[in-house]
Amino acid sequence: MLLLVLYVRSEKHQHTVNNSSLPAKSNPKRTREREMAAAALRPAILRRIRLSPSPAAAAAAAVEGSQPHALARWLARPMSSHDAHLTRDEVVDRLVDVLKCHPKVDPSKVSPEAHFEKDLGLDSLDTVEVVMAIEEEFKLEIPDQEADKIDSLPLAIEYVANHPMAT
Amino acid sequence: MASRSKLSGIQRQVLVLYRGFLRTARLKSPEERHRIESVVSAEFRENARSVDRKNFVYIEYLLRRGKKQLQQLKDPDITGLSTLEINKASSLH
Repeated sequence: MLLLVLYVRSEKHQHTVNNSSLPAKSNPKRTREREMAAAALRPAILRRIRLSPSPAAAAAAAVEGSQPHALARWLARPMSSHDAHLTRDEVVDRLVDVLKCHPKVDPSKVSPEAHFEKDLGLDSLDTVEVVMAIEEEFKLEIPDQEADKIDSLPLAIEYVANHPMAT
Repeated sequence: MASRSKLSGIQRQVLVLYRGFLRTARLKSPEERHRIESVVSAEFRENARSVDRKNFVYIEYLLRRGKKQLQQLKDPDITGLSTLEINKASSLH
């Protein structure tokens, strides 16, 4: 596209040169002179030509700068999970489902306020299993210190809802 | 053991070990994982039921042994079942 425009421009210049030397059309010497004139003009033309694409190139570079490269966009993707963050309701629903799926939990007892041991009758080993299941559901890795503290659904909801990487 | 905040240090160590086993089981094939999980879970529950909670020397021995087994299980070449079966057999004495 850019090349095409440049070609048209240089043609125009050639034309003006030809027009100025119109009377000596058939004279070989004149033809040669014309050629030399054209050759002399060429740097000037080229300079103009070279000038013309630069604003376009600058604009293209600016566009490139403002719109990150595809790879950069892809790399930034995990970070942008903040934007599409889970809603609290979604977290609550999915956590309740995780609890209901545990073999030792009576599904009718599960409520968003349930305490794992007091309300659902789970022991500490079951609680470890539940927290591991929560990790898998939301594709998290909960460190031991944090996992030890999660002993009820409200705490689990709090943890997952505030976790930036929860999906 | 009404509240989790009252867990003793040794109880917490047991839970950390259990979590470590479950995490490691995730790295194995789904079939193996299921088998490892059921064996590990049965082992922990059996010991939780049968071992006196004041028998610290024995619990600490079990913890040390469990940690060693976990290290072995983390080796990707070990599928886990044979190791755990042998250990389970020995723990029944």
